Amino acid sequence: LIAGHPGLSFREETQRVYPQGSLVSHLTGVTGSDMQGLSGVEASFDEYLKQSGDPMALTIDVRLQHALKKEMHHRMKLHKAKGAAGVIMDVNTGEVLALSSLPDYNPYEYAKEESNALFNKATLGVYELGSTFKIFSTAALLEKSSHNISSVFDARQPIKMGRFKIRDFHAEKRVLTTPEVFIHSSNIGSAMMGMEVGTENLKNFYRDIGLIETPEFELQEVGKPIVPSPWREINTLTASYGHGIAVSPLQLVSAVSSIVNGGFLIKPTLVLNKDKKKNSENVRVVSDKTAHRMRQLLRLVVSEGTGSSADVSGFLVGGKTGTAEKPGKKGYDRKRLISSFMGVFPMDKPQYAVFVMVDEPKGIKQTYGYATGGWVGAPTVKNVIQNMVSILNLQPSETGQGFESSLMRFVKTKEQLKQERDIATH
Amino acid sequence: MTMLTRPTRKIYLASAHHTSIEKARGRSFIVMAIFLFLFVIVGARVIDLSIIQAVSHDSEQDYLKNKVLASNSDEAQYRRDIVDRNGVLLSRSLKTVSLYADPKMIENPVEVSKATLRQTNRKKF
Repeated sequence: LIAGHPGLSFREETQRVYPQGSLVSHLTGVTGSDMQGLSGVEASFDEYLKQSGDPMALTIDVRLQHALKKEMHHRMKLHKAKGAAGVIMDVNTGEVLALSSLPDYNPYEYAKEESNALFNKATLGVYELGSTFKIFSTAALLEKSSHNISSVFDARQPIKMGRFKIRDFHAEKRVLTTPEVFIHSSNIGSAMMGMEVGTENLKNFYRDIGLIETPEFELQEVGKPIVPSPWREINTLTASYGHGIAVSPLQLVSAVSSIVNGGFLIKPTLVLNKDKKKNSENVRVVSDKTAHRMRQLLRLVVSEGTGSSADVSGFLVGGKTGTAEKPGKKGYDRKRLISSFMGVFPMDKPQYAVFVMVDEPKGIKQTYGYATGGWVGAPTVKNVIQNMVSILNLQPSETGQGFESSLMRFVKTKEQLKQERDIATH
Repeated sequence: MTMLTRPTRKIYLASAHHTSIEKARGRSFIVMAIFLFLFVIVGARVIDLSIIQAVSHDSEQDYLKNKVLASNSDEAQYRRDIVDRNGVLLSRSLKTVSLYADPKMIENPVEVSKATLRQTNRKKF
């Protein structure tokens, strides 16, 4: 044949091709040369894929996937970060519209890739996600019938408990109302909220919204959360602001979706139409009232608080920043951060949840040396949402203006605070 | 006439020594019996495999060829496409043709591989 040699000839073989390359490799996974699924959907649906039939449709939208990856990649490079993870979810159905973990890998070079690239940070990785957890502790507090939104928490002094000391990152050093604790992301205030909710209640609430058990998902690569055991009182305090408890980004997004969609528990899903009824079981995790308050609070974070750089005008973006210190050799390491932003929009009728987490971002000049969730996560989510608007052709709305205003009387604006200070000093 | 009858004699060694030799005989008989039994089993298995359960292949090559064909048949290699929610293709199985070399039929591997590389415009495999 070639070179006319009888020892050479051709053979027909089947090969699995991945037209999107590394874009969706963490989701599809790869198939080995013997046509056995090795990872991702290829592995978890191996038997199903081998049967003849229609193509298998995922809930992913490749256009959103591309936008998410592009923005994450950009931010990762900007802050010289080690990695990033991101999820876009439909809050009403639990459908995963995009899910990315960086660095990702080339499906054709699967065997050569290093483990960091093969590791799915969004589903398999579990992290202490920090202040994004205040969404859950605050919701648990609002669920308590006795709670009043105007009650205050004294965040002037760090809390000392045993060898632990809880301090504030964005220290306000004053007495804060519930909305203020949330929008300024006060650890002290949240820990006090946790105490008010109580250990059993908080634990049960976390279990209800799926933060304690390993979530059900259609990939093999699903991480088991790390939950304090035994759960002591101090764990209640730290779990209120997202430390001492580690969950996967997928779990966080599902739990947040379950609150903002009106309070109905959703299960994350990657396979389209597989079981539409499954998510309409309508298991209520929080009341309508709490869901509404949480929407307002999330909006306040963006309009008045730490998440202001996530705002996209006309789309009523809400969300919560998260800056967690990674556990190092001697306690928590203040230099190595997990910075994230959990975004939801539009807040008056939530449709989409957008989460981005960056692993060990470094502070840069443009962010004045900061590498926190508000400086790293929030602008990434903003860019992703702007991309989504044009891809999905979403229309801006004016009806949501003033959506959060009923809570404004519990929040002191910067001007008010300045006035107070001026009066005090004069 | 007196019949001389030869007294049939069994030799008995009457001593403590004697009994221990008798015992040893008995033991070696048992060991022999066990080994014989095992040999019979092994032998039976050999007959079973080589005659009763025998599979006839003309040659090893044929056998290998069958194996390759089996794993290459359309049925074994079929796999559904994976698409996104709008039907954009994410993963598909494609028939491809690959070149292979049969080492038995190549006498000058270095030359052939060089020629193949030239033909396919590649620097390495």
